[in-house]
Amino acid sequence: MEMDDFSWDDIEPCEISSAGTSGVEICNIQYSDEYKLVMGYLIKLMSLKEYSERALILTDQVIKLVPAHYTIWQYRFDIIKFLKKDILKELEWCERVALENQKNYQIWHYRQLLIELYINNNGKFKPEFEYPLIDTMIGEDNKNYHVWAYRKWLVEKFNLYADQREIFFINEMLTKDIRNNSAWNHRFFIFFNNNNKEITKNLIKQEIEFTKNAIDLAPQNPSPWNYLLGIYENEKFNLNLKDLEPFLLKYSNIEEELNDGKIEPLIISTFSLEILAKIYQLNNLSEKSIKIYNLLADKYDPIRKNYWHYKRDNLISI
Amino acid sequence: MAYGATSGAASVAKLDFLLNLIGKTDISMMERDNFVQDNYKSINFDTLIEMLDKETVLKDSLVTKTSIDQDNTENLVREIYEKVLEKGEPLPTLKKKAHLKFLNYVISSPLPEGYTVLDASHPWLIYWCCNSIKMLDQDLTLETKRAISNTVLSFVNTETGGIGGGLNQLGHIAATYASVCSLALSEDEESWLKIDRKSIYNWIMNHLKQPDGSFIMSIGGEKDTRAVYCTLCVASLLNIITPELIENTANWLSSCQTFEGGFAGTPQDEAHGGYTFCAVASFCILGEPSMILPKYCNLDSLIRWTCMRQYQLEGGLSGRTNKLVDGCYSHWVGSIVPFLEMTIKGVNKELISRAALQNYILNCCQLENESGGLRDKPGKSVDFYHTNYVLCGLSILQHKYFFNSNLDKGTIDSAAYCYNCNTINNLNIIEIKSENQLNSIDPIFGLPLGIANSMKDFFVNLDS
Repeated sequence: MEMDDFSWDDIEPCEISSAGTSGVEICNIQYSDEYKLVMGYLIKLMSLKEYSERALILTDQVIKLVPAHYTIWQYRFDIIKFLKKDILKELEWCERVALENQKNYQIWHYRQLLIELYINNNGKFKPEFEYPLIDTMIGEDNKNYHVWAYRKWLVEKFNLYADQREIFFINEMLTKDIRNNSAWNHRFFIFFNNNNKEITKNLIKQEIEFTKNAIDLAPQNPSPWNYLLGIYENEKFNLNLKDLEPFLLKYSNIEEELNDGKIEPLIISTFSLEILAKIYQLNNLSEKSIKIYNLLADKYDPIRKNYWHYKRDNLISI
Repeated sequence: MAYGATSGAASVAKLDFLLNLIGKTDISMMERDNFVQDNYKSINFDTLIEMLDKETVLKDSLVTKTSIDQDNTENLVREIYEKVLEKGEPLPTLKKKAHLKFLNYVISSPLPEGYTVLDASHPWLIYWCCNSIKMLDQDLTLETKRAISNTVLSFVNTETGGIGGGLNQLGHIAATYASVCSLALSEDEESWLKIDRKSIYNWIMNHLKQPDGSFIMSIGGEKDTRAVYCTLCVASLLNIITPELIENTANWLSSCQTFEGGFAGTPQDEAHGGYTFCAVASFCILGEPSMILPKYCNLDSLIRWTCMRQYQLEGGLSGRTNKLVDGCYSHWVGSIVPFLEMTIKGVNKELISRAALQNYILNCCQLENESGGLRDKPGKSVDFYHTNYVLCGLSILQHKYFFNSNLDKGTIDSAAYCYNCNTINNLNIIEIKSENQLNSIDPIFGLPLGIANSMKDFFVNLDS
């Protein structure tokens, strides 16, 4: 359907002027004649509170041109609601808009509104309906913030925490790119979210093992290290950072370096060094920690010299 | 002025590295000394050498999409830095004239049709451009100031309350934030009186405020930390902030801190630079950094996450773990740093490398030719968003901030108005050449320092 398929004779469109005359005296945009015409009708219809098929067609045109036009999105939603349109069809329209414009983030909030409306009207919505679109969008940009946030919303909304498809999806993402931090974050959310009342010792153990294996693949990858620290530093889990020492020494043969040994030390991860410094501090071996912070500042992570000095000086002042 | 960067064994290694880089390995001692004289002149230069020198340290061999993207960016940046080192001092400077030309064009002539995509972002365009112009030390003409206030006031939506992104648009709190900032920049007190503050307050309380303490962007809109920041800025500047308005807000923000240490848009999403700034600045509207941040944040992990955003070779800041640097995070992440530095104890109170970030901004965020405007990274084009936030980041890193409780206004948000700053004058930290110097900005509101205070004082006086 296009604009020409409807009659507009009964409507006098609002004047959309270009420069100077509209009250917009700065950053005035020189709209195309087509845009002026469409917006002129839209603004008129909105002011008349007309919720109609012809208005719907106009919103489609504007949204494709100006994806961030939240007023038009809201108007479109009101029309869908008023005309009791088929929401599943509308979700499909929304999908096409998403695929045409990767950076369009308004669509994710709009989908939430549509799904809430569908549930209100029809009761049950199948979340599987959403997977193909999410897969495609993540396939295009594996760290798309809005898509991951939408997936999180879906899990919360439909209680999919224990759904095998979630962990399957995460694992697939991490197999493709073990450095995908969005996937790590989603993993943390699935397992360690506040709603999960059954964080068992087994689960924690399983996740620590998974993370250690990931670190083995690329020891300088910050994502699994953050995940590991996230687990170990969660007070509820009652873990002891010191247990990590043997694992950490695999990536930082620090004894050689600290003892001024003749053997060239094998340091392959700044993160293992960092956590070792924390452990030595817990063991009241502050001098060792200080040496590590100096090593990080001067040799292994000099861009963060100020940060490592701050950590070091904190120790000295204690 | 010679900076003492040539002492010690480390510098000899650096010099060898540099000479090797430009293919001058076989030269006499005298040539060497001359080279040193000619080239080692500032901490900025020295830092640049160090950024390139250390870039091979600890890199994994495993190749994934993330590492490919990172390598591509590093290659683009390295190419630029190597050219700069080869040319030696003076290092590239901020092309103030070109940037002003770029910005003045926007505010003085109608924008081409291509800008239609920003049709719902008019107040942002005005704020980004006018704010940048002020940072670059150009005054806005009386004509421009009038144009700003007339334009912004025409975006007020009397039906919904709030200010929209253009004519005939719904009230939106981000558009309202950008509009109020633009009105502050206009310094047009007459227009300030025309803002219907009561209707904005009612709109916030009746439509945006959520029971959990958060806010949504517009009626039917999304809720996130951005909406909280925009709401608190607007309510504070217009002096309509009340205990009811901020009820539960700090707790909700607190729930957005992730296991990584940064903050997400909503609880359990990924930690992100933009959202982290919004959360930290929001806290600091509600209290003094050293008091409120330890109360509502895991401070250690926040500091760690923030410092981890700076990358060795680029010197720029990224917005998330394992993502690329982007000039706009010079502000979103860089402006978190002053709040953290005011919170930590210690002698130095320096957390990131200011010199390295300045190098990234001056060398990588400006175009290679003489055109103005700033950008995300090499290979990207300039835009107004990046121009403003790269400049904000540059301004912030050039200043040291202090919390001055003598400035207390006695309002519930008085902490937001207690900032003073000095230009950093310590050649061990950074050299700020006069060509590169920007006016200071307010770390909370992102406005030239003093402007937010003027607006607040105006409304406080009006209400007393």
